[in-house]
This record gives sequence, C-alpha cells and structure tokens, in this order.
Amino acid sequence: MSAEPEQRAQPAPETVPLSDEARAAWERALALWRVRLDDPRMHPGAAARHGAPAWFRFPPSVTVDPHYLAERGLADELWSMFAHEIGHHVLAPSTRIDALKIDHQMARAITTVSPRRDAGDGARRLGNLWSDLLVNTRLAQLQRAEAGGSSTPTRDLGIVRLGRALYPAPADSADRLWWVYCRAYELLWQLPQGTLCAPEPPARPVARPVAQRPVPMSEIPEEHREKERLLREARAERERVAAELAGATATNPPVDAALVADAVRTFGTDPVSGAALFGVIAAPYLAEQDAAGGWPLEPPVGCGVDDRPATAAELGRLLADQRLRADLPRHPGTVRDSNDSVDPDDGIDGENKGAGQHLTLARTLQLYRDSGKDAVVAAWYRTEASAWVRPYTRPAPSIPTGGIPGPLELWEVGDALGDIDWPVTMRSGAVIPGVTTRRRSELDDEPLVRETSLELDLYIDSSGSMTHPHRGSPAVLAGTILALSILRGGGRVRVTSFSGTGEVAGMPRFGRDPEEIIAAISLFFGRSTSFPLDLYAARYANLPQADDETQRHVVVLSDDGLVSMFGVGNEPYSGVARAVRAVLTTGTLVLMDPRRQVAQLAERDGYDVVYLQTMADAPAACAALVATLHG
Amino acid sequence: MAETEALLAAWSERSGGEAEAWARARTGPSLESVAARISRVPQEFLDERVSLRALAGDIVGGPIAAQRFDDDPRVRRGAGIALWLVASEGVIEPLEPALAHGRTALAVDALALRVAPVADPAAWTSDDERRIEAARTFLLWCGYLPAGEDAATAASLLAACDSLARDRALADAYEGHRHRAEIARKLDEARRREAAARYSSE
Repeated sequence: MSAEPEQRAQPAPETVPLSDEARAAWERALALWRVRLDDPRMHPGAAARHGAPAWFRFPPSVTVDPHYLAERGLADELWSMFAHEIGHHVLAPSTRIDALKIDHQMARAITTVSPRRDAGDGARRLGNLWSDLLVNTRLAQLQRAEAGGSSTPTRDLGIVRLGRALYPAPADSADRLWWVYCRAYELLWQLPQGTLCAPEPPARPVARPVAQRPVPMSEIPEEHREKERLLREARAERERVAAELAGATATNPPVDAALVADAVRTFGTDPVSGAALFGVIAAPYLAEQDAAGGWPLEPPVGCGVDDRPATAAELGRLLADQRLRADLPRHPGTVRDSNDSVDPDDGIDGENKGAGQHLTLARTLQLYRDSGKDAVVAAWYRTEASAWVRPYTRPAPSIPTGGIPGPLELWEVGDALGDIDWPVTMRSGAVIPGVTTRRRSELDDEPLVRETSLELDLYIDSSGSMTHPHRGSPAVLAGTILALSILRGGGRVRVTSFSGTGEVAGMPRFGRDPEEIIAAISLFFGRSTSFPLDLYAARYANLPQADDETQRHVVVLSDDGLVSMFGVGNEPYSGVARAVRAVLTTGTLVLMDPRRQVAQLAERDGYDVVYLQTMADAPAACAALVATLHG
Repeated sequence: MAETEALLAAWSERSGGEAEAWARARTGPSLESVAARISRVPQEFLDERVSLRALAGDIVGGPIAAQRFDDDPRVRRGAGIALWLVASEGVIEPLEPALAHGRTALAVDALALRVAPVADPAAWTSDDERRIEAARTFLLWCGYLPAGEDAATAASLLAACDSLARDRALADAYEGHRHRAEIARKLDEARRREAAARYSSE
C-alpha cells in the first residue's frame, strides 16, 4: 500500500485487465467511499519491483499487485487494498498539494528537533505514516458500518486483517517509531495489546558520543595556553551536559502511541493541520535515531506520495498556506493539564519555540531541491513579502474642475451671447450692451485627486558582502516587497543587479512580469562591489528635468560598498550620481551600513537614505520608501 | 468536593480486587448496547436535587458506597449514569443477558468512585473514548465481559482506555519532558560559556 514508489532497475511488469472478481472488489471499494474513479491498473509482480504492493498517484489513479495478497492468503481482501488506496484520494492526502503540505509540516517538526538533519529526510516517511493512519482509521469505521455495525468483530474487518498481515515488525525490530505506529492502530481499532506489535517497545538506542581528539597542549603557543585551558574546561562541561541531554529521553512510546491515536481522532478530516501535531510527536524518534548513529527502519509498508518535484505554482500555494506558517503545536506530553494549552510556569519545550519552527529559506531549498532553486527562491520571497505588499502609487497631476457659480461680471460686446444672465440683466430695466448686461462668472472647484502608477528603477547590490539570497537576504526581501507593491499599484519596475566591474545583469527595460523581476532581484554574483556608473549615466543621459507628468524614481539596495556609486575608486565617473539625481524625482538608497559610511556622500549628491539590517527591518524600510515615492 | 485520591482509596477498599473481577466475569451484553444506553441518560438522573441514597435504594435496592461522597458532583453524575444503566432495563428493555442479574451496586460504585474522579462524567456522553471506558468498566464490575471478547482481550482493551493509567503515564511523560527541558537550558548556558571562552590566536 503506497503512493508511487521509487522505480527499480527491473523490467516493468505487464498491466493485466481487471478480472470479474477484481472489478467487483473495485466497485465495492468505490461504493464504500461513495466516489467514482477510473479503473485501477493491475500489475502482477509489481510489489517485488516497487517495494510496495499498491500505490496511488495524481491525477487520481490506483495501481495494485494482485499476486501480493494472493500469495499471503488475502486474495479476498483485494477490495480492502483498493479501498485503502481510494481513501488516499478521498481523505489523506486527497490532493497532490495537500500531500506536499503534509510533508512540509513534517519537515518543520523534524527541523525543530534535529537542526542538522536534511529537511526532506524523514518528512516523506512521517507523511506516509500520518496519511495511512487517517485513511485506515476511517476505513475501519466504514467497513464496520458496511458489515452492519457492532456485530462484526474488529479483528475481522478487512483493513484490520490487512494490517495484521502487513504491519507487525520482525521480533528483533529496533524501530521505536514503528512500534508507536502499530500501537496507535491497536488503540484506534480497539485491538488487544500485542496484536500488531510486542507489548513492550524496543529499547531506547544509546546515543553515540562524538569523540574528538584535542590538539596536545604542547602544540598550543605559550601565550594562549591559559585561554586554551579555560576553553577546554568550558567545552568539556558543554559535552558533559550534552551527553546528559542525549540520555534524557524525549520519547515515551506507550504515551506517544496514545497521543498519536488522540491526534488521529481529533484531526480525522484535517490532515494538514493534524500533520503538525503528529510530526511533533514522531520527529523526536528520528532525532533519537540520529543520535544513535541511525539504524535500519522497518520497510515502508505505508503509502508515500509521488516523487515529482513541486512546480513553481505549487510552491507558491504551498508556502502561502497559513497552517504551514503558524507555530508548531507543543508536544502534548509537555502540557500538564489538558485545559491549559500553555503551561505558564515552566519553559518546557522552549527548544521548540521561535525561529526553529519556521523553515528558513536554506531549509526550504533543501526540502524542495528538485523543484529548482530559482522557483523555490521566488516562491519563498513572494510569500515572505506578501503580508507587506500594498499598492504603491503617486498622485496624478491635478485637473482643475469648474462649475461653482461666482460673482456677477459685466457682459461686454464680443462676449458669447449665451453667457448673459438675463434675469439679472432685466432687473436693471433697460438692456444696454456693455453697460447693464451681466453674466455669472464661474469659479474653479477643488481639483480632482487621482492616483496613478509608478515606475521604479531598482538597483540591487549582489556583491559578496551582501547576504546570499539563498540564506534569507533583507535586501532581496525589501526589493521584493517594493517591486510587488509597485506592480500592485499598476506600475512597472526595472531591476539591475550589480557586483564587480562588468558584472551587471537584470532587465533591459521596465516590465510587469513578477517572475522576471524576482529572478533579477535574487540574482547573485558574490564578487566585489562596483556600482555600474557607466550604465547609470547612459540610462539618464540627455533627459529633461522630471516634473509632475514625467516622474523618475531610483532605489538602490546595497551596503557600505556603495561608496563606489559616488565615484570612490572610480573617479572618472564621480559626478554621475549627482548628474543623474538632477533628472530624477526621487533617489533613495536602502543601505545595510551600520557605520553610516555612505551617508555623507549620499547627502552631498541629494539621495535619501533608509537603513536596513535584518529581515525584520525590511517592511519598515519599505514603509519609509512608500512615503518618499508617493511624494 | 472530595480529593481524587480519597475517592480512589474508597474504591480500592470497596472493589475487592481487579483480578478477582476478571476471574468471575462471564459473557455479557455487547459493549455498544451499554455505550448507547449511556448516551441516552435522562436529565433526571443527573439532577443535583435528587438524593443519591434514595435513587440507589429505588434502583439497586440498597445503599452504595458512593453515597458517602454525594457532595462531589463527579461522583453524583457518575453514580447517576450508572444507576440509569440499571434502571434502563425497566424503562427500555433488558439487555441480553440482563444487567440486573449482575453485581449492579458494585458496578455503580465503580463508575462513581473509579472512573468519575479521573474522567468527567460529562464527557461520557460526548466523547466516544470515555463512553467506551465507562461501559467497559461497568460491565467488568457488574460481572460481565463484552459480548464477543475473552477476558484477556477485554482486559487489554480496558487498560488501553483507562483514564487513570493514562493520566499517570502522561504525568510521567511530563516529568520526563520537564527534566529534559531543564538540561536543555543548562546546555544553552554551557554553550554560552564555551562561546565566551573562545579566543583569537592572531
């Protein structure tokens, strides 16, 4: 029972048509879930090739090896195997995007307890276990209802028979997570203890200490020996406490099995939210396994998801889901009273709180490495920026509007005849043109206030001193917020990424394609810093002064290396920044420059400066910019 | 309200031992039929104004140990639901075999003194797991095994949903996590000290 498993280098088995028995089993399984699907594919012998007797894939389809069950005397449970796979399409994960979200939740939980573990490693396995738990629990309920209710013993239900045949681990299994998984089924299905797993869980593996050979003190220079001695004492103390922590178990299989069963009952119809709780309970077992140097896990009898990487569109939907951005739940074992979600008097689980819960960009890249770095980076920055994107506009030139009646004026010969205010003119008794004739003057009303879009010329420093976009760059985030906000206001953006001499890339003209813009913003050379003054000069050469009709806005995202923009180290172009500023409406530098090295030069040439240091500063920096750009 | 420990101690004194209860249990009504009756408990059986002593006298024909604790709302509600199970055979129809042939007073005390202190009777009607726990406990102390189960299976399944055992296991787990969190804090401190002790050799 699995989603499309990995391919192995053996000839593909032939697909055989559905036999009458298999079709009856398929129809019975469909009726159980009350859905319709295309016929399943029957691949005799596929289990040996794929390592799983059945699997599902998206768009919804089911593949089964009918021989697998027949060889185990379970041919009459083909319908249960069909029903299990159909359950994956109906309940968990139900869609490919939800499958990816479940894996994402697991990766978050794993990252929290195993900071050094690959984010994707283990997430798929935990996601499979969680989806199988939900499907099999619901399936047992449906099969019981189909069998007429309570009269059928639980152990005779089809999915329970399959589980009893497929799930028990070998007697010498050391996989504690698998024990928890099987025990959770015993609790959910109300099977006597010992039906699917041994009554006692496998022993906790012993953490393997990492031995390091210190450099002999005699090789340490004389003047550093005292400091080295103190350092070694501190290190030894840290290693002693770390060993103590490794020995203090975070796992309690019997309790965790009960908590997993609770999670299944609670989140039976919300696999994505529940995945976070299951991940928090299960991930410590992977950490425990890592600390012990790993050991063979039980064969993945549960279902997986297909191995196609997430597309750019899927990544966008995935990362935008608030359930994947909220804090992970606390491990339920750390909550003393079920009525109190937070125990205020202690800091238990403090290691699970805060930054570790949110997948960093580096971790996200690791998890979706097959999707392509550019797609992941673009989706990640767009998601991070989305909360701060507002339509950035500027006031349009005002249009005076008339229409308010003003004081009376003399109507003179030569004025339009239609302008004469006859009632007022007739009040004087005689109509003498130019003497008694009057007309009503018209005053201007308040001009109409309108907003119009902006054009932003954005320069971003991608030299080695800037944070690499793959590590979470405040400049890239600020650039993304800015660019998307300009686009939201109907405007256009041109992005130029620069590093050393001749290392300039980006967009040749202003555009509105967010993918092209974010790709240009997150481009990274990683070399020296030299602002492309020649290009800057060429772009703004021979232009008239900016005015209300023609506005020009430049923003430069950089650090203290931006002194090159003012000709430092590039003296022949030292006047370019000032000359260009003269034809701009606004010129703003967004700088990561704690020592304020650029401030004086910027002020001299008329550029505004906004400072930025961390990712958290980016929204505030952009808020400051919006006021500048709006004018 | 009585202390939970006092109620459990009173039950321990009253019960006569769980091993003996399993030994004398014989096949009884189905678990689902008892659980369904729990779901249908009339409000009158939960009314605080009704005397538990009088209700027990009317239904089981004598006093019950739980009436000593009738100022405890958990005990009152637990006993009320248990008494309804016995009374329901006259109101609806007898179960097969009839509960009335078993040790009904002991079963009422089991729900009132053993289950109610650790699993709020209000949850017996709203939470499947707690309802099953109450039904299994009632059947055991009434002298029955759920229909279709042998003693080993029934004992295992009751142990799996036992709130008292679960609370104790969770308390142990909580202590384990608290202990680990303390060591984690010490490790953070040790890491800070190690970082402070680092030096530059240049």
